[in-house]
Amino acid sequence: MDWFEVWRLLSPTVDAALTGGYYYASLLAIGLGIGILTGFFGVGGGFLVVPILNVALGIRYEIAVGSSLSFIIGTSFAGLLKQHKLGNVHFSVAGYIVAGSVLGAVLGDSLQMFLLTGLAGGNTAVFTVYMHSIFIIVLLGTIRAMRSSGKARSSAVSEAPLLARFGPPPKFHIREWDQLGFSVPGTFIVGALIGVFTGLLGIGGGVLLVPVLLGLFGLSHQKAAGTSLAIIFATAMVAVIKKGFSEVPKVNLPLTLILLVASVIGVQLGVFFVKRVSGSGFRRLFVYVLLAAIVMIAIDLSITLLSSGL
Amino acid sequence: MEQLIATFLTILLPILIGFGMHLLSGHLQQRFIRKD
Repeated sequence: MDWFEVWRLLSPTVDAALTGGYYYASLLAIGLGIGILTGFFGVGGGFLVVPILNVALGIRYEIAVGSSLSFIIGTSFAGLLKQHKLGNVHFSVAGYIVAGSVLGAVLGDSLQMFLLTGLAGGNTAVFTVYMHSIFIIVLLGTIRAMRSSGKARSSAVSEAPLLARFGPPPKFHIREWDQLGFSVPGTFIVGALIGVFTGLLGIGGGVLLVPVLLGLFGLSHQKAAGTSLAIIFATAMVAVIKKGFSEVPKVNLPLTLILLVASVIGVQLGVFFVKRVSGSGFRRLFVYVLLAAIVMIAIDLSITLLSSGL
Repeated sequence: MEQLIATFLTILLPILIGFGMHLLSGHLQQRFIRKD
């Protein structure tokens, strides 16, 4: 066993703009900030980890994505244990979605490699433009999904969930909607689409999954949160395995562990802050965080386009 | 073999920290409830 080779595989060059103490201090600050958001909003924060690592520290996208997925394994596992204890994990729905999402995660990683080596021809600036653009679209879609799921909940309609009304057979049944069947192929496709985002962008997909579980499966808010964590954990694990066995290492473990340790402290702070905020402003605050991320990425996108002459 | 070990570690270590995170939040919550 060559342990130096193991270390080399675990710590690929990240090409960060900062080095030494500044680099580690920045990672700790980012981990702390993400942890506060996780504790405050109950989201994994993968959608922020990747762009922040790339924009603020200049870490290559493929390493940021891989490391974010490894980070998500830790945060989603902690959340999953808590939600499982509370009985909020719907394993049959999670199982059918995971069947699709793991395939999607593998496809997402291949798509990332196609964008980098195929479409961008190995040009990092072009690849950054692609990834930034996709991130902006996904974040805008998330804001839209949040608004529509909020409206759906406020209208309090007890009609059949979308995936029980549409989608080809065979169907599976869940306790909450006893008389209705949910389309297995439909669920698989939904899982696969979310998995593609996980493998491609390094996001857990909680911000996409929760509205899906609320709208398409009619789960309660608590069950949607718990079930999404189970899906995120399984999908991120498969995505990390796929990235681990790729030709070039894509997960920087020291980076992941620093982020995770800092986020442990941040989560406790976030939980502390959340008790001091009224429920009405909660959703709006989260939208502001998403908008701030969009602005950050858009500015960096403009700089990349101008500086590389694309 | 090295690749297998490295991939295993990128999964195992975050899980261990996640487990620690879960224990810590449980511990803090218990203390908080007791204080209440």
